[in-house]
Order: sequence, then C-alpha cells, then structure tokens
Amino acid sequence: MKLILILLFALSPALAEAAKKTFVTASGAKFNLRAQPSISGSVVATAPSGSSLEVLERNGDWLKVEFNGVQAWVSSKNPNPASAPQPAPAPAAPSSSSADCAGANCNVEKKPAPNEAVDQISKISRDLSSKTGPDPVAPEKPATPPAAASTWLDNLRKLMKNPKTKVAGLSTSRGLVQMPLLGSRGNIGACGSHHYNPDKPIGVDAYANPVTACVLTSVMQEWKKNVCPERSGCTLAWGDISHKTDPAFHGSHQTHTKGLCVDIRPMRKGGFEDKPLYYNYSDYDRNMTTKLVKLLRANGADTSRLYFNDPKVTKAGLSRRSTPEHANHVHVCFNDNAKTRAVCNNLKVDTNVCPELR
Amino acid sequence: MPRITLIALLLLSVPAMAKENCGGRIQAFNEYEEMQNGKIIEKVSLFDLPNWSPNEGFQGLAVRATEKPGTKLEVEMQKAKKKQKASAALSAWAVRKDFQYAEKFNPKEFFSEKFSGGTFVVRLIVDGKVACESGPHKISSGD
Repeated sequence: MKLILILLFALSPALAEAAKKTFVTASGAKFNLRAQPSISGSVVATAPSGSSLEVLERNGDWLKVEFNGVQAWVSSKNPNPASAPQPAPAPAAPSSSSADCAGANCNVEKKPAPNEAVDQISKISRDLSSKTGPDPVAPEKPATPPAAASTWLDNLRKLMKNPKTKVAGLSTSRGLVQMPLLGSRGNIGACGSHHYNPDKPIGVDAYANPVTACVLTSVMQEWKKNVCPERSGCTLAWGDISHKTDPAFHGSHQTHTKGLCVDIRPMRKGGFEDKPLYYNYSDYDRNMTTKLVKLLRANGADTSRLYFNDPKVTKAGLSRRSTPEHANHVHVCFNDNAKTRAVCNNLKVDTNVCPELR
Repeated sequence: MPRITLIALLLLSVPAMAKENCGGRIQAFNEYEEMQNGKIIEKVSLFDLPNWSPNEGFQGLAVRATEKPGTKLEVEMQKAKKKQKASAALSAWAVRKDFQYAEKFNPKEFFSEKFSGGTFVVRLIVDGKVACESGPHKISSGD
C-alpha cells in the first residue's frame, strides 16, 4: 500500500504558540502507534489514513504523538523529520513514498484481510509487557499530585468552543468526538472503564458530543478515584454512545443519535465480568448502582431521560422506568447546557487516575 | 381428575419433553480485554443465554468440549409467521479448552431489526437430532 508521510508544520496566525506545533499526517495507509520508540514496541493503537497527529517529542527516527488522548510513538523515515518543534514557512510537500516504509522500521503495514488485521493486532496487544511501564489503570506507586495538563481535556474544550475545529489527534465526525479506547477489541476505556459490546471498527460506537465526552470523563474519573478504585464488579462499564457515521445507529437506537446519551451497565457484586446484568439478578449491586445514578445526576444528567427500571431506584426518584431493555442498563444523557459546561470547566484530569488522558 | 383430562395432559406434555430445557448446556460468551499491571489480558465471560438486543447481547455461542463430536447448534428467530434459521458447527476454542464454540456464528450479523419484538431459540443438535432447546428468548430493538 502506498504510504505518504507528510510533516506539516502548523501555523496559526492567531496563536503564536500553535505555530510551534508539529504534526505528522498519514495518507494512503494507517499508522501503528507503539508504546515504545521501537519496532518491537507494542502497538497500543492504530491511526487511520488522514489522521493528523501532534508531535510531542522526538527520539531518533521516532516521534511521540498523541491520538485520541493516547500518547504513543510512531516511526518517521521522512528525510526531513521534525526536530524540536519549530515553525516552518509552509507545509512540507509529500516527501516519502512506500519505498521509505518498506523496511523493518516502517509503521505502516500492508492492509491485511479483516481477520488477519484482528489477529495481528490481537497478537501484538497480548504482547504488551511490563516494558510499557506502570499499570495505567492501577498504579502501584503511591499517588503523586495530579498532573496539571490533559491534552484530551484541552482538546475537548477547543471543540466545545467550536465543534468544527479540527483538533490533531482526535477522531471526530458529525460534530462528535470518539472516546479514548485501547486494545485490539476496543474494550479498554479511560480511567479504568470498560466499553462493552464494542462494534467494529473499534470506536465507531463511542462518539459523543464534546460536552458529553467531557462530563463522561468527569464521571469516569470520579468513579475510579473515589468510589471504585479497583477492577471489580463496580468497574464502570459503558456501551453505546452514538455512531460515527450512522445517526440512526443501525435503525434501532433512536435515542443515541446526537452523542448525548450513553448506556451504562448496573453494578455487579464480586469480580468484573463482561456480560449482561439485570436488576433482578442475584449479583446485582443496588447500593453501588444507586451511587452511580447519584453521581450521574450530580454531573448534570438530564433527569427526564435518566432511565433505569429497578423499582427501588425509581421509587427513590433517582431514575425513570422505561422500556424493558432498561432493566439491564442505565440510560443517561448529558445535554449541552450551563450545568454540564460548568462541570466540564471545573474538571481537572488527574493523570494518576486517568493516565491515558495526558 | 377425570381419566380423559389425564390423558390429554400426558399428550400435551410430549412436545415439551422433546424440547427439554438445555439447563446450561448452551452458553453465550463475550471475549474482551482488560489492562492488568501494564499488560493487556484476553478474557472471556460465559453465561446463560440472555435476551438479545443490538446494544446488550453476546458475541457468540459455546458448549462444553465434552459434547459429542459432530454436535451442532441451530439458532432460529421468529416474529409472527416470519422465521429465519442458522446452523453452526462447533470448533475447538483456544481461549477455553473446556468448551467448543460456534466459530462462524456472528450474532451481530444474524440478528436483524426485522425480528425486533420477536423471539429466538437455540437448539443443541446431537447425532442429527434436537437434544434440547434453549428459549424462547426475546429480541428487542435495544433502545
């Protein structure tokens, strides 16, 4: 497959700071994003053709970039690679062809058959070893003070100001942004969360309005930090948000068209399992589910569309009973309004809790 | 109880006995990944067949490895007079050696919106005969 690596030196007339940023763009193929600056580094994500990735750091031929809130390394065999981020007078012309990426250090691979791609990524993902550093989900070291910067949050705020803004490293579509996901199956969400029932391609069912994405980040962080720090039955498991390209979501998910609503499984007693859970099951954890519903409300959930059918939760006025499907998930919507924007404006990402959101 | 009633009850119970509940012989599963100590770990959850909806269902079907060789699964959807059936052979399963799974049966492709509001059953076919049947389970739009 033909690959063209283009280094674009972004110039923003409005922001001198932006002029210093360097971007790398793939066209004609996909990028493998690796945990380490080496071809042996585990692939933590793939960026589709046309992705524009901000270069954060350079290590030899390798560039540290950000994609969907994930920081990873991508090889650059470009003859005119980015050094320290500097402004350039004009975007560089396409300077590399497939020949540049034919060697062992190439990031971009021949597009395999769909099953091959999944197998290949699975194989590499299984290989993710301790080389990747401390567990981003459950750090073994004592917590350090929260890091101040979150590129994910900064980018969301840019999109909240102007949904049409093109933000490097984020997958956007229909004014929606894809929630960060790791792994070859698209299950591993930010802040220790779990994305259940993922569609293919990965992330296609995880598109949210930027404000909703921001509030959801706040919920995920709060849940992991203060309510459910360890992987267990209370791990926040979320399902469909909205579809990248299909507003009707295969024709069957009408309340998930605008990226405002997300399905969340009830909480389970005991260990984590990726399987349906109904409120009348013996391992349903009403106490933790009630805590979750309260947290959703505190973060500005639209209470008129907060559906969950557990009679004890509805009787307490915390959720509304709806169609029978809402016996196995909490349906919650975060509209773009003053309350949700305030939640987002007050959010500070603790990168010890949500390291993938740096 | 009149003799005629007893006979009628016995006759009515014959079809039900033929379709004995599978009692967990057919399982649904989800394969997934999670991060543990910096490593991505492959995991699988097995569970009794649930209802189906596009946003909460299962990724596949499995039976114990001890079932007879040649055992198959048959899945049938029904809504009013409309029916659709699929047959699935079972293969060895690398992630759970104590089970075999219907490798080529993809529920997301099989279940369709047309059958929303209908039901489905899954049958265990041993030696070409229905050994048991699980269901009917509901099919919903999943909103």
